[in-house]
Amino acid sequence: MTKTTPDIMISLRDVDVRYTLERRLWNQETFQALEGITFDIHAGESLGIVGLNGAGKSTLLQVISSILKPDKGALINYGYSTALLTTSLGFDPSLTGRRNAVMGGLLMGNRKDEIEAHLDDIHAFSELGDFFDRPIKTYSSGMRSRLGFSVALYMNPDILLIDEGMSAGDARFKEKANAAMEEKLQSAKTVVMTSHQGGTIEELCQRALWLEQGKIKMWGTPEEVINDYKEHVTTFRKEKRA
Amino acid sequence: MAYLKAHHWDYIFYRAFANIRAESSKYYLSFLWWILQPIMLMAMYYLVFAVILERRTPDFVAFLLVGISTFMWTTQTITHCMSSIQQGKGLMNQIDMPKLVFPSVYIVMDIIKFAIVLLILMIYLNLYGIHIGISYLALPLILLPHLFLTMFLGYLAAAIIPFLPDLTFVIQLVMRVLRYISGVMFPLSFVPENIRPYFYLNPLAVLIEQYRNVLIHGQWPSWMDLGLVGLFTFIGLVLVIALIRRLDHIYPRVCSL
Repeated sequence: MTKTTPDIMISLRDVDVRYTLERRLWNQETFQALEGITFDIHAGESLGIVGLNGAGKSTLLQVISSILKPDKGALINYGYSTALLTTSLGFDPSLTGRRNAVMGGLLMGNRKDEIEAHLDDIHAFSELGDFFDRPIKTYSSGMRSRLGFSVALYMNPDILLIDEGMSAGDARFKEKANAAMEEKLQSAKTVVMTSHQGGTIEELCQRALWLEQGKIKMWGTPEEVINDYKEHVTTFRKEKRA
Repeated sequence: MAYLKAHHWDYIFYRAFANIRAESSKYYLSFLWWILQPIMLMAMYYLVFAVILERRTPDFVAFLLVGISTFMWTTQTITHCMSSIQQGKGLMNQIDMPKLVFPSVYIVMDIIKFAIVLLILMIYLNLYGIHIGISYLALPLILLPHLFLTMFLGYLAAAIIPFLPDLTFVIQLVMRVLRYISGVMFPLSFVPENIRPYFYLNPLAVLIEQYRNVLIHGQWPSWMDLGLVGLFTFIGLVLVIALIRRLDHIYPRVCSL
């Protein structure tokens, strides 16, 4: 057993994740999505993860939320619930927003009556109006992410994991969502978010991590990390053009 | 620690009822299809076996209806469960959840449908003149091993298909063959005596015959046969649930392929 300070919620130790790329009988090709990742998530902190597309950000969130088991290394969760928030609530498109909200809440570990007590809040925050009682397949992508965000917000997981997709809502809703998250952060909520840009991370996070090709390239304050990351992206683009 | 927690059970039942409602609103005749489907199959078999081949048994309509509706419970469940884990890939990549939940939703849905079909079947038998007798008391003891068998096969198909999607075709073929060898449309007494014992190795054939004994002939079932089917399917059920639990964190990777 490793000795831990009481405020650590989740630890990653030398985590490797490899994917098999195709369903084949022989010659299986694999892809190294994460390599040697080690860090801790502390209670009440907000951690931002930046990286280009394919750097392993989403995989890392899936490891943190115990969806994927590492191929090597270990993930230790000291007994906290997590909820992963992505662009679309991947529930059932033929069912209404209300039913999907209940199902989402149930899977996040809540009982039915607890969820039903919050349905009006979820309905109001999502600003879906009449669409709340229509099948999700009639929603725009922005509406879906609004529903997903509202459910996760009211279901109160110990750790909120946000994939960059959140930006799918319009500018005004994004502002409202950021304000709600800031409030969560002030009430000592733990948040981990990923982005390939960095704006939101600079605004909301206390610590930042830069992921490149599955490895941690840099740790630091959001200002430092985003600064270096942006510089890297610009030179990378120039090199590509040349 | 329990594999399925209270909120997972909540989810299974909530999802099952929501699905049934969504499914029924897709068709103009919605719930009526649960009844119409077995009746149409019955009419088809009646035409082939009673009218064309002239090989009918007494009470042939009742004989066919009991066989078809009990057989269909199992095969429909297998068909629904087969792709259930694979279809849950969107969800399992967003939330860490027991994958047993996916086939369980369909098992609950098909239990509800079968319960209603069975109830209507019993009402029909009574109107037809085969009255409810003391043998009906044995019905739960046929339903229980049948439930174990159906759950076992449904979970097994759900567990394997994500790894070997090609088996979908094999399972469909096997179910078609089963329809002919389980005594759905003709009694196993029609099968030549020298090969008949092999037919009784098929638990579905055993169960269907016992249903007819109880529902049509007013006889007590064969306790020994029911006990054996119940025992083996229960063991299988426990093992396949353990298997799905074991593979819980492999499915998100396999289903994304």
